[in-house]
Amino acid sequence: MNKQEGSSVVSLRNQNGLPLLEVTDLHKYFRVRSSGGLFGKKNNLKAVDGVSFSVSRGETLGIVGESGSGKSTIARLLLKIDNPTSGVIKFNGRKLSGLLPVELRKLRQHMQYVFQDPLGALDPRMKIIDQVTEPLIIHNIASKSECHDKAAELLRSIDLKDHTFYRYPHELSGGQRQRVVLARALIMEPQLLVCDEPTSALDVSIQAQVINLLARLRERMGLTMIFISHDLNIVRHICERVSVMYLGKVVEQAQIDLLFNSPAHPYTQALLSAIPIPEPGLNRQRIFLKSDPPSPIDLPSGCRFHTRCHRAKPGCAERIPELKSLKNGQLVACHLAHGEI
Amino acid sequence: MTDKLEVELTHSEEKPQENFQIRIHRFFGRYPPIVIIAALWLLFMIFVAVFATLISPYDFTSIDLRTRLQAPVWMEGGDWNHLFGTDDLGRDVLSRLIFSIRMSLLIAFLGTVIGAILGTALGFLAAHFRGWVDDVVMAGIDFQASLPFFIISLTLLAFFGNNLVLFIGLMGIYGWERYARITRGLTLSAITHGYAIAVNTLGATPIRVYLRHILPNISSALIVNMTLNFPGTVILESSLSFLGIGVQPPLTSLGNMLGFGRDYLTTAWWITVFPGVAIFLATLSMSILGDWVRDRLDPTLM
Repeated sequence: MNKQEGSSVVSLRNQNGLPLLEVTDLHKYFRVRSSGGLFGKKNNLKAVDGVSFSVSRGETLGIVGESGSGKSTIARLLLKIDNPTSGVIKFNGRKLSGLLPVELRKLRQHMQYVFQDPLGALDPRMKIIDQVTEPLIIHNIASKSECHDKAAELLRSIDLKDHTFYRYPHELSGGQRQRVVLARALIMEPQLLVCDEPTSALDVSIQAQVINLLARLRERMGLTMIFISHDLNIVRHICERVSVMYLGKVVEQAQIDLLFNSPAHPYTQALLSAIPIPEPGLNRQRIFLKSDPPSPIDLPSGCRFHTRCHRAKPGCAERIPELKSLKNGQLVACHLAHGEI
Repeated sequence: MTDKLEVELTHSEEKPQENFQIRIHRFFGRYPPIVIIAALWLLFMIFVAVFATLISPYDFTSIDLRTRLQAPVWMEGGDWNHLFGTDDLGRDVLSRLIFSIRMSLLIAFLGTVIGAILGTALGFLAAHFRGWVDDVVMAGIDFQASLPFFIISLTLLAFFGNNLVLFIGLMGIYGWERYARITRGLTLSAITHGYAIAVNTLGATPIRVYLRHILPNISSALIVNMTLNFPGTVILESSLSFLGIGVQPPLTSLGNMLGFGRDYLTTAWWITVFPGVAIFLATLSMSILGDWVRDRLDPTLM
């Protein structure tokens, strides 16, 4: 790392007042052909529709929701893999949208992405050690041998044996691969780590291993994390705050204990009721959601959840609920929770 | 490709308990005899081309009018001085054949490499920029694919006069559109793949993503296309030289030999048959090898 770069990192870290990441009114629409064929009509798929949140330094924010709720899209927008349709993402107080490609590449060393599918995320034709070393070489941090030593040290610290260094990704097990992906993301000592369902492609036994590793590394490196998952147990284990998403909107956002103890949104209640209780004989009241989520192209009027809500009232289909704070600081977007209907 | 071969070689070494017959059988299953023969023939031709000056008995331009149209050694009138006989100017056919192989292979290799680089680069550009760049490249591909390239080459060579650089350049342009199409298609699917996105989020420049990551991953398809394109280039070169607008005397190439031997086809067949057989065997060997390489590099055909 050259001097100038080093000092700028320090200065970034000193602005402790600011949240590390600030997202305001983020929208991402995809143009899709709804009816098939060559001449089908194109419609907007609202993958992310007006999402705002902020993450302060050292915090871990969980984003949960079923598939299609837009959580992975948010991850891609945060890392600028895709460009948002509208909305502002500020990282360290800097807008991501106006950056020149050179500036963006420089900034990328401070924000890293951990992929859902570790095999797909690794170059099939490159040795493990080279893949982990690559970020250092890209950002011209150190000489080749120093890079190699640093990568080897990091890999050893996450329990990868030396003989795996010169293997190719397909020769490793799923858990080993995900650790390699983690090592590659962490070797630059980023400030923000976005994990997009990092354990969903893994066996349950290995999931725990990876999650514990993540928690350990977070402590050691003071990482700020965004943890995307559909597994509420894992989220509860690792996150401090959670956003619950439904069809591109945040329906509830709260501290982890508040959310798990007193879920305010009917959707959150339904999700939580699906978590099995590890005690025989003890059953909670399961809330079963009706049918599948509606199409994100043809969204329901009013509250998007009213078609499946077990507490829906006629007024829910008329007005769109806003994400507002309850007395205890929990943010909820539901007319019932706010006593509006 | 070499990785795979090495892996499999080490595997077979790890099982010494298998008996000899099974191993022979497996070896030929993996490397069919015809493929081995084709590869050996190509190696032989490359050897001949590289060491042409050392192994040719005569200078390929030296004229000896006293021994005009002498037959090969095994025919009446032939002798050991001229193994494959002589042509109408008394030049040694074997020596000319050796130098023709050198020239034809050189042109075909250079042409193939130029075409591969040009096509791959344009394919990457199209896939990276999309939009109008993509449109222009795709239009170029369609143009190239629908042009009668042989006639274009004839016209260009006739207009701009014949020189070796232009000729090799033309050979390079031949077939670029297939590389471009393959590269564009595979790159478009690769850049949505995890590994390309991952390297991108690490902060790599697009050039690094394309050359260090995507190129190695799509190289098998490009190598296969090279082996399929090579025979086409050899034949194009031969045809143009046969018509007298390719390689010009005093240089010689296989097609050029065919063209000049044409008048003596009934009386001195050896002038044309040897280069003809050389063209045939070279293109056939390359095609056989190319088919085999394609099968080997395609995991779905294993």
